[in-house]
Amino acid sequence: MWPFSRRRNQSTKQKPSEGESLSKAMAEAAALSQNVNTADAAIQYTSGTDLTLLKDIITETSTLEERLSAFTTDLAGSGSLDSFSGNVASAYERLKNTVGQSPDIIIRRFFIGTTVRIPAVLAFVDGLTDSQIIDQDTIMVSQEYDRAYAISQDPKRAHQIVHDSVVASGHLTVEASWQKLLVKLMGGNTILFIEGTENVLVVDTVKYPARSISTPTAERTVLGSQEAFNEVILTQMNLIRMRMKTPDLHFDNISLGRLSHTNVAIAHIEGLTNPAIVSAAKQKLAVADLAEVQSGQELVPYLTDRANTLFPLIRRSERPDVVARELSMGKIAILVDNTPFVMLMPNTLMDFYQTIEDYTMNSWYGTLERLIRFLGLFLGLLLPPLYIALTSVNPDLLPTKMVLTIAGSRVGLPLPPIFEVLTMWAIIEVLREAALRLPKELSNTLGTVGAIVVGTAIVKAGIVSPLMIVIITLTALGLFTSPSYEMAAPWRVLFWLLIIVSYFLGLYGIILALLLILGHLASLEVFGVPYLSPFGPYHGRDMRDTLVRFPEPMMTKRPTYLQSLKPKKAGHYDATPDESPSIYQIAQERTHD
Amino acid sequence: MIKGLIRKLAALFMLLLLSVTLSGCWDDMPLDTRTLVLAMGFYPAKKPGQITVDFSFPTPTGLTSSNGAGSGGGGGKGPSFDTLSGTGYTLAQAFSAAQAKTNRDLYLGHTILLVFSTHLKAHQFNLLMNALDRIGTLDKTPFVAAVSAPFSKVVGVKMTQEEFPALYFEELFTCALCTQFSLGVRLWDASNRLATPGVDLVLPEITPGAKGKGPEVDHIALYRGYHYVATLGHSETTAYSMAAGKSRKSSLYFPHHWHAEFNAVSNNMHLHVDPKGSTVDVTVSLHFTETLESLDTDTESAHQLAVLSRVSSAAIGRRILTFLEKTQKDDSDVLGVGRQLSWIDPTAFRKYRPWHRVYPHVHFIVKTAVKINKMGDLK
Repeated sequence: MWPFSRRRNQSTKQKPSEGESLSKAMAEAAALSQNVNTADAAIQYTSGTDLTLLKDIITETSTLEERLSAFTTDLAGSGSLDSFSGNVASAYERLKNTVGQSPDIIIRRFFIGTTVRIPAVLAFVDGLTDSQIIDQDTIMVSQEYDRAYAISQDPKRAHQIVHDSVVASGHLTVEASWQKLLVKLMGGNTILFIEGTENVLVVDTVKYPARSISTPTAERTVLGSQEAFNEVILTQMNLIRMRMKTPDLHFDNISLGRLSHTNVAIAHIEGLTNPAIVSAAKQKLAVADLAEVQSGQELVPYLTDRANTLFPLIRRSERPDVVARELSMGKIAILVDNTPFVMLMPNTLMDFYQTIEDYTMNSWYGTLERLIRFLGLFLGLLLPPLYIALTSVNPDLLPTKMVLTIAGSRVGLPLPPIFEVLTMWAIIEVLREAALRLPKELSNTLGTVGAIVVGTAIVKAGIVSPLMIVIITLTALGLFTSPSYEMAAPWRVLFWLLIIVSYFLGLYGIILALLLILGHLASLEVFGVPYLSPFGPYHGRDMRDTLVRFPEPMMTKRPTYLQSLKPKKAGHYDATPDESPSIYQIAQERTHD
Repeated sequence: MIKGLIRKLAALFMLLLLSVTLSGCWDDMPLDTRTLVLAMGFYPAKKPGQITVDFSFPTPTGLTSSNGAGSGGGGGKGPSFDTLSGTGYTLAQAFSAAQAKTNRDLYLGHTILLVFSTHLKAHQFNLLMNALDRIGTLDKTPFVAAVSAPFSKVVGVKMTQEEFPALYFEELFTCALCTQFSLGVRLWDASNRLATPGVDLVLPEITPGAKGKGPEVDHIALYRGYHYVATLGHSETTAYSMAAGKSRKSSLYFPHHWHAEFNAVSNNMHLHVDPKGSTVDVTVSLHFTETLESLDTDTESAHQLAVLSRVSSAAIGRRILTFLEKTQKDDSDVLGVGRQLSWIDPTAFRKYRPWHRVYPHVHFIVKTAVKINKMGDLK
């Protein structure tokens, strides 16, 4: 039996037994039940498969009949299928026969008032709502309302009276469209139908089950804030707002996903962020025709023109302080419900090598950290290819004593250098993948066992040289010095390319491959911002926060490539038509808007 | 659209094709399959006109013991280096003969020492230098030395300081009496001197050491063009190092002047050439710095220092002048007087052709100035 049929039976049992419409509905249900039993008896002699199918068809048909009946009532009352007619009984039937078949949807009938009793229906999603607001601030105050006489006198204004004088919730809106009402209902709001009025009250009772605010795991820091986003978009907004109290901080809300109706918010600072970036992001998201949005990553192909590139064009951060800092620079942030990582854009390659740690310590430390990150990248990316190139293709480029050392370490080895590297790297990748899937306690053990046992044993077995263990260890560590997890991935892929070309073409191949990578990076753009900024095109002023980090007082301006409306971080600034015509034009348009 | 795709694919194909064909990767060999030749010796063969080339290279035993241990074993007992020889009329023939004796590629990319027998004929030396200049894998940085003893006695002997004999000669020019000088000559320098008119080749000479000791490099060999002329003694070698401005750690002893001893004698040299009629006046200006190491009086006085400065200056000047007169007798322009003349006055230099007939009649003036660093000064 399909779940649909089972729920249908459950909802039949929960049917109230009083009221005229209710009696009518009971009579209809009894008739329908009799029909079902008759049909059931008639098809006893058919095959088992057919019997199940037929039962479902009959159930569906009877549900459809009731739904159509409710639709007819609305159509007769309001003249539109999408509008509530003011008939609470029909609303109840319509809800019950559509969304009400799901056990988490609660539909409640009650009366407003003590002396005069106005029928009302209330629906909400169990688990996504704050029960205190529903029980005490909505139902209880409605039932105890002693001036319901006024509502009975002017039913058309019932929603207004309840809105103003009865319901004690902070956020109430009015809606008449069934389509919108159902979406709001599914989003955790409570919808309240009142007999006589075509307007339905939407009470904001949203209270999602959420993780508490935990410490960041992907972007850890020593001296920085220890708060990370959770999955609830409202909490994300709150965490950003806590750090950016300016009224210019705007969150533009969009709902994406035909099925999921996921809330997506574009955060930006009005009057600072280049409006062209904001509107471009909105336009790109507007055309994203998705069935569901379960993660921010699903939006990336719609936000960038080069979705097939290896390199991440959109930076994701779980840190509210990072998001606040980037917003203050003139970037936009895209918050996606159910995703604890906020997307930042536009980005350059250098953005992926900056951490909040760089700014919580002094500039000397920040500079050192960044240089070490790049050193790690180059070591990780180039050490094995260089080893292969210098031992297989270009041994003449090594100092003699080093050649003797390497040759000595390779005496008796059965594998050529490239297979030595491939063997070790395959082991590293397998260990990494296994450690990622295991519980944290086990993964630590696995890492230690893998590093010590496998490393020692493979050298003893004469498969790889001790030098290779050093190289691969440095490679594995170096490739993960990138503070951004997504930036480590492309280098790990390109590592294989470099290994192959170094074996066939030596140093020449490595240089060729690096040039190709550089060319590709130079061709990338995010919202018109070159990915290699400020190196290409060169912006000398922006170099102060790239490989080295200057002290904060020396970084008085925002990055040039972001084309911020306020290029200076402090002080008042008005764009002049001579200085920057495009920014001036945009600012003027915003003013007129 | 299809045309554009075809163009892109064609460009990519061309890029790959050019990458492979231009790199010459088809004859690449991993390090494991190469025999790393560290030293080469060139000797006249028994058969007239032929040359014998010796190749010294480390063995697997030597390689594993030089850096601790290898991975897959292969160590064991045995000599740390070995030598292969090949004979032929040309270097290529000799190389092929030696290559035929091993199944590994004789790789010259890491050769660090080339030794030339003093018994080589001039045309053989010339032939070898030309051939060495044309070997692609051999860079121009190996040290070059002269030898009169067999290869096995100078390079093929066990060293106490280095696992491989060739490494011993990599940086050093050792001299028992005159300590060290910067007298090492690299292949590019030797080729340059042989190809440049007005300057002659000077090579350090390796001689077998006493029994139980390694070879010594404590004197130099003079050449006139490609002809070996003579080997200088210790004193003359010291004089050459000073005259050439290459003295670094020489020492001087004056027993008649308070038993004064100087060490760390270093200097620079300036050559001034002045053509005068049928002859040439050459002024060799030398500026010395030396450290007063010991004195039989406890402390030195200004007078003593002045005397010592004058005495050491005169002594050095005499010594160098004697040395230069010897080179004139041997007709070997070791300081490159002719080259200097060709630089400052090419027309005059052309008039003095052939230079080797003029050089013995050049008039040398040696000017020396000595600065004494007192004992205890930091240097």
